[in-house]
Amino acid sequence: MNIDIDDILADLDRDTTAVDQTLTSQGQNDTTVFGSDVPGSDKAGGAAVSPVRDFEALMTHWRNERLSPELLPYPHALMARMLRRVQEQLEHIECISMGYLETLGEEDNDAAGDSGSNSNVLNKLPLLCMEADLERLKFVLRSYVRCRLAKVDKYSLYLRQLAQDNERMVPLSGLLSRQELEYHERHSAILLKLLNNTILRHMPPELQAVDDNEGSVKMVEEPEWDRFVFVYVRGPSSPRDPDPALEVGPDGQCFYNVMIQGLREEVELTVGGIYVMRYNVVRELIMEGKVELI
Amino acid sequence: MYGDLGSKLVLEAKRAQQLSQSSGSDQLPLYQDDLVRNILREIAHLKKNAEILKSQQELENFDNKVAKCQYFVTLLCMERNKRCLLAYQKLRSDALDAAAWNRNGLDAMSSLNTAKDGSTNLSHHEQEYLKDYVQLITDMKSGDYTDIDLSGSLTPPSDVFIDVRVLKDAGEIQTEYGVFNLIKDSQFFVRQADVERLIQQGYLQKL
Amino acid sequence: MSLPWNIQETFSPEEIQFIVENEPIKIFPRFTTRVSLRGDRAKPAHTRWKLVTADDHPLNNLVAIQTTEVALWMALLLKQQGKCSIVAPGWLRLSQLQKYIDYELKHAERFSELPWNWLVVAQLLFSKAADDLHDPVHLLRGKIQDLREIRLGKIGQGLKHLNESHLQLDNLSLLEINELRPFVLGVMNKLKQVHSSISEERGSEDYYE
Repeated sequence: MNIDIDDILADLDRDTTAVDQTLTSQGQNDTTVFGSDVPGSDKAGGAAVSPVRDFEALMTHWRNERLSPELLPYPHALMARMLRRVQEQLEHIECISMGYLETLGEEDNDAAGDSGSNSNVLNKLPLLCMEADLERLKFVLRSYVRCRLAKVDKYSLYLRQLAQDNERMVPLSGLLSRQELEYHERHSAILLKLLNNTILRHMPPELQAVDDNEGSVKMVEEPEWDRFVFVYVRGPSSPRDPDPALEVGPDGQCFYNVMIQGLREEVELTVGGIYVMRYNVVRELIMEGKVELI
Repeated sequence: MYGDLGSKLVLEAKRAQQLSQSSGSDQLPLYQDDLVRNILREIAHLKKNAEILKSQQELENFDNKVAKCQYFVTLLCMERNKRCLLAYQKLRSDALDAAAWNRNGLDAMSSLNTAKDGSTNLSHHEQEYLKDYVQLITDMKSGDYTDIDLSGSLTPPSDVFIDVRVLKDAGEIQTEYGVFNLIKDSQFFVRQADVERLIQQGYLQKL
Repeated sequence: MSLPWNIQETFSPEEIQFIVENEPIKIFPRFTTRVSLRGDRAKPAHTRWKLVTADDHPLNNLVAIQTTEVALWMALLLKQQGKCSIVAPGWLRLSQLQKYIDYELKHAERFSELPWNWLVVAQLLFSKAADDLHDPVHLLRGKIQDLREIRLGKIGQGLKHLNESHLQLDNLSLLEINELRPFVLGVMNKLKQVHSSISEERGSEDYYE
C-alpha cells in the first residue's frame, strides 16, 4: 500500500468536501476565527469556511462513514467548527425567543394570546425555521458520531493493533477524536474485564488471549477491504485542474482506469456513471473525492 | 460429543441476538451459567487429554500420524469452545450496549436488571459491565458533544412543528412561544416536542 | 452497538428523504423580507434568518412573488405555513413523464435520465404541495407509479448480471439504489467468496502438478 499521501493532501486543500485538511496541519493552530462563519465570509487556512460548505462537507463525511467498511479519518477542524456553531446557534435562538435581540414591542404583546394572527406567525417564522434547521444539524452530528463509535467498537482490537504498530504514518489521534479515543480505551477495558472474568481466566494459559491470530481462526477482525460498495463517479474535484488520472476515450467520454487485483481485470469508470465495485479498487479515488459512496 | 455444548450455547446466543434486534425489545434471555461452566469443564478435560497425548508422543518418539491427528483435533475442539463462549458473551454484551443507548442510563439498568419478581437475566459480571457502560455513555454525552444529545433520536427530524387539534379541555400550557389555552376543538401550531406527552395521553390530535 | 443494526451499512428510507430535502428548489414567496434602502418605518422590524445548514441570504432578501431558491425542507415548511408556493420542477409534468416512460419501454437494458431524487421529490410534492403542480395529482401519481413499476421490473431482470467482479447501473435514483443495496451487495459479496475459494483450489492444484 502506498502510504505517501502528501500530494493527495495538497490537492485536498482546495476541496474541503473530501478528506479534512487537518491531516496536513496536525500540530499547527486551528486558524478559524470566531464569528467568521457568516455565509459569504472567508477564509481560514486557504479554504472558505461558510456554514453551507461545512454542512455539505459534513453530509459527505456522514454518508461516506456509513457506507465505508473502514473507519475514516476524523475531520477535526470541521467538527470543532460545527460543534461551536451548534452551541452559538442554540444561544442565539434562546435570545430571540426571549425577545432580547429583537424588540417586537406591543404588537407581540397584543398577539401573544392569538397564535393564529398573521404578523405573529410571520415574526416567529424565522424562529421556526431556525429551530428546524438546528435540529437537522444536530441529527447529522449525532448520527455521524454514533456511526463512528459503532465502528470503533467493531474494530476495537484492530485499532489497538494499529496503535502499537510504530510504522503507521497517521497516528490514532489523527484517525479518532479525543473523545473517541477515550471511548475506545474505556470500552475495551470494561469489555475485556467482562470476558476475562467470565471466560478467559478459566481457560488454559495458551488460550487466554483475546487477540490471538495464531489459531485456526484469526481473532482480530480487520475491515473487509474488498467488500462491494455502490459508487458514483463524480470526476475531477475542480474542473480547472488537469487530472492526470482522467483518461478520454475515442468517443470523448472521460473515465478512470482501475484494476481489480484479485481478478487481474481492468475496468473503465466513466464520469457520471454508477457502479458496484470492490471498495479497495476505488478507495484511493474516494479519498481524492473523484468517486463518491452512495 | 465434544462441541455439542458449544453448539447449544451458540444457539442461545442467536436467540439473544434476535431478541435484541427485534423492535421494541431490550430484554435478554437468562444467562446460561450451567452451560458455560460445563463448556469450561470440557475445555479443561480436553486440555488434560492434549497433555497426555503430547507426553505419549514424546515418549514413543516416532511419527504416529493418528496420534498427531488426535492431538490436533483436541486443540481444535478447545479453540472452538473458546470461540463459542466468547461469541455468546460478546453477543450479549452487544445487546446490552444497544439497550444502554436506547434507554438513557438508569432506565436501562433498572429495566434490564429486574423482572417482576426481582430476579435478573443478567449474570453478576454482566450487571457490572452494564453499569460501567452506562457511565461511559453519560461521560461521552458531556464535554464537546453536550449540545447534540448523543443518545437522542437517530430518526431524521421531520415536523419540528405540527398542527394539533384539542380533543378534550386541557387547561393552559406554557411554551416559549406563549401560553396556549387548550379548549376543545381549537387548533394550534406548536412544537412537537412540547406536546408529545399530551398527544400520547389523548388530549391533542396531530393533524 | 451504538448504531442500530438495521442502518449499519445502509440508510433508512427516512434518511434518504433527509438527504433529498437538502437539495434546492424554487419557490414563490408570499411575503417580503428584503429591507429597502429607504427603510420603512411603518413596517415592523422582524427577526432575521440565521441558519447553520443552509444559505440564509435568500430568506433575508425575499420579495413577494419573486422566485427564489431555498432548500426543499425549508420550502415545505414555508408552504405548510402558507407563506409560499412551490415551483414544481419541469420533469414533474405529464408530458415529460410520458417521455421518460417511453424511453424506459424502448430500452430494455438502460434507465432513463430521471433526476437522482425523482421518487422522493414526487412523493413529497404530492403529499405537501399538490396544488402547486402543473397537472392533476392523480394523473401524475399514475405516471410515477408506472415509471416505478417499469424500472423495478428492469432491475429484477438485471439481477442475472450479478457477478463477482463489478456492475454498472447508470441513472438509478438514490432511493432505488438504497432498496437494492442489501440484496445486490450481499449476493455479489457471496459470489466473490465463492469465486476466490474456487481459484484457491485451482491454484493449489497447479502447485501439485
